[in-house]
Amino acid sequence: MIRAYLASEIKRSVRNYRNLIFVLLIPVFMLLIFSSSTKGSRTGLLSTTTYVMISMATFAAMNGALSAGGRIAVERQTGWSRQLRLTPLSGKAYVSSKLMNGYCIALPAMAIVFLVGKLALSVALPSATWLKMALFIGVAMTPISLLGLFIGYTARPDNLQAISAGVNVTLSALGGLWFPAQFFPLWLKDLAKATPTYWIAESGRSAAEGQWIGATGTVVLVIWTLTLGAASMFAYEKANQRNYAT
Amino acid sequence: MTTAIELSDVIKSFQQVKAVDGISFNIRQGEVVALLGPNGAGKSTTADMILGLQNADSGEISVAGRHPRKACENGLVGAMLQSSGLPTELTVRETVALMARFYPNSAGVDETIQAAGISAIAGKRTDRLSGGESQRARFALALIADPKILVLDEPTAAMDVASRHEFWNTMRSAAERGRTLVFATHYLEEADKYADRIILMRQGRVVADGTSASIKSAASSRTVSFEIAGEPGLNLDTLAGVTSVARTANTYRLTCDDSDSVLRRIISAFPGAFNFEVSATGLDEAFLALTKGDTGDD
Repeated sequence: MIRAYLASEIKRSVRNYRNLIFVLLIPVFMLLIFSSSTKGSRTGLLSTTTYVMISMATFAAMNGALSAGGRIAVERQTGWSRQLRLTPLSGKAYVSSKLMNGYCIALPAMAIVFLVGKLALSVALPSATWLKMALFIGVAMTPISLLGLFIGYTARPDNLQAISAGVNVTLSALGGLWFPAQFFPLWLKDLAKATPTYWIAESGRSAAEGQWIGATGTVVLVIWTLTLGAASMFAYEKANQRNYAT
Repeated sequence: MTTAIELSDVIKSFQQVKAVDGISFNIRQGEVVALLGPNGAGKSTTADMILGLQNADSGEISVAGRHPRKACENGLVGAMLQSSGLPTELTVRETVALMARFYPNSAGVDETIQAAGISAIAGKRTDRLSGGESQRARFALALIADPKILVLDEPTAAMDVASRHEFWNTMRSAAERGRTLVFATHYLEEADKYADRIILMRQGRVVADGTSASIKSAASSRTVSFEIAGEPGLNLDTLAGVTSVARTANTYRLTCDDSDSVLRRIISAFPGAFNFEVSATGLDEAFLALTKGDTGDD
């Protein structure tokens, strides 16, 4: 049952061209622009091109996860989620399908950025490292998937775009995805290190460097995961108790 | 006949508002029942509780002999909710097929599309349907589990007259297979035409429950009131056409089946009677509110 539902969710996501183009192509576009002036330079242990590529892979994955979560808000508004509540499909299956669907968009979006990096920008890394980067980012982005759920259960469709865009820009800019955080002033750098996005990208970069993000990063990501997990669970419960007779 | 739906002393409030204020009724398997009432009468809340989408504050609800949620999950109940969109980016057929996968004993995709009369729009994307078309697509979803009970909340709200007629024809053939059909409506005409039984609701209460004809006769009763100085010297209860008598001081209030003949009798029997007043009873007021066709959501 959940497999049939997930399959139809993926089908729907693939057919939503507008969103798909945004999620898949914008990061690639930005990668090509940002990397055009970075030839030969280095940022930390990595070439600046690799650094930017990992930032854009994180950005792409985040967009994928957030867009999938946002669909919940639309289905709550139209009442489709209410119709589904009458079926044997459990709430748990509904939510986990949405989460998995998010990964099904996020992972290819990330892969396309990597592919462009490898083929067009000649980022040379061992194949095991590519896989490790994808895996690290995929695991580290858990709080973003949960944030997508939280938005889905709290936003209304008419303010969904604004909320998603606001969250997206804040997390991307503050997390140093668009401009490396190490060039931030000290106070801003401290703030960047409190964002999940900074550490998601860091986990990708540490994979490229053959390291791991370390205790601070892990703790920050775990705290975000627990907080957003609890918040989205609370929002889910509340949305389902709400009086729908509007 | 077995009981399909049973409600006893059901109460449901939202904040301070009592949406459903102590209702009880039994619906037998195979009955076609209209929940009729103006907006805000508590029809949708009642339908939601029958479907297990909302829990009653107090009272008991059982559907097909079990908890409403269980009845839905077991595919015994199909529903058309008042506001329920369809998933975007899927065709009607794909949506029906998805729902079919949820039930081990589904009625079959092609069979359901046929039964709901939506073959012509099966290939259309759900976001390109007209109001009436999407309503019929949703009817197909209600049929997919081959349910014994159908609950439809304002099923024809988005339809024009022609598609409304067509819809009820389809519905009738769905009901002919021994299904129990409960539909909420604020159209008196729909209830009258298609239901065996009407449960008339108003302000969260059941104000009448019976066949269309019995409700009509109840609704057509009037109150005749007048004053007489002194004793009438006649037992007003026994007057033909009078169903009950109430007296305060010198004022008499007679509830009548046939107010015209009662009025004639009173005038001829009591030349000294004055202050005549003929008015509609509460039930009639409810009917008036209905037939006025006030619009809006409830």
